[in-house]
Amino acid sequence: MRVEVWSDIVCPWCYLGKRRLEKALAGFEHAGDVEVEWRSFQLDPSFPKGLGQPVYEALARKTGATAAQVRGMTEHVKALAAEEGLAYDFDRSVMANTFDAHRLTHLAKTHGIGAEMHERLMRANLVEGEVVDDAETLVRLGAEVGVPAGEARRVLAGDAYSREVMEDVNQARALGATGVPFFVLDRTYGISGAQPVEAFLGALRTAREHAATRAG
Amino acid sequence: MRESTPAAAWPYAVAEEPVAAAPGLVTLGSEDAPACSGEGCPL
Repeated sequence: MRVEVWSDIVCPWCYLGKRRLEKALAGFEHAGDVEVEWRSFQLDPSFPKGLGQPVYEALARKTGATAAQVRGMTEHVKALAAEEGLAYDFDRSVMANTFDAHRLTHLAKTHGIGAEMHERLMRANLVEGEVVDDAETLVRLGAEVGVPAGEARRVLAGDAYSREVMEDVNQARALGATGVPFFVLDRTYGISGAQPVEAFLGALRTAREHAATRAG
Repeated sequence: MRESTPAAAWPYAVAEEPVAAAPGLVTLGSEDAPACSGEGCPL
């Protein structure tokens, strides 16, 4: 079974959905037959690279809310994430253009560590307050999971894997995704959002039964 | 567990470009599970 997941690195529901899918896989009888592929998606391709705007500041500016109100807005997603072991720190999170981070993930895929790169980038942005559109930050994060620093620098200095990122984005839209996280199972079933673990487990079993029926 | 989707939005936006449609998928799960879009993320 092939599970493709479209998500953006700055997306709090995407990281939460990722954990819940992983918990579902841990309880899935046929997890050994499942291949998960993380696909690129940009929530805001037009966000200026290197702006370094703190998330709370951006939220306050957009909504006109006070600092206290902005903190209150994020308590729900923070609490849900904490239940899954994710310590979101929006006090430190910085908004970023994620295009280069996604290109780095595609480079990591060629080394067989795309999943590790995607996990490291999400943690860096949502938990650790790293600036994930800074080239040297991306090089360092890549090196932590095994992407050679020299290769990462060359990719980030050029436009390698830009086409791959855009293809992922276009594929999501072609498949009818209206948001992320977006999960596609065997190009047959689609499940959207940070669903409960039970919903992911049910989807895995449904896709498995469908594949078994077709094979029989 | 059902998630609510409050009106507060993450400050993102994305430009829409036309893409060719792929064969339809069978939708599973809850329709109101929280997800981020070009309009933002429900918080």
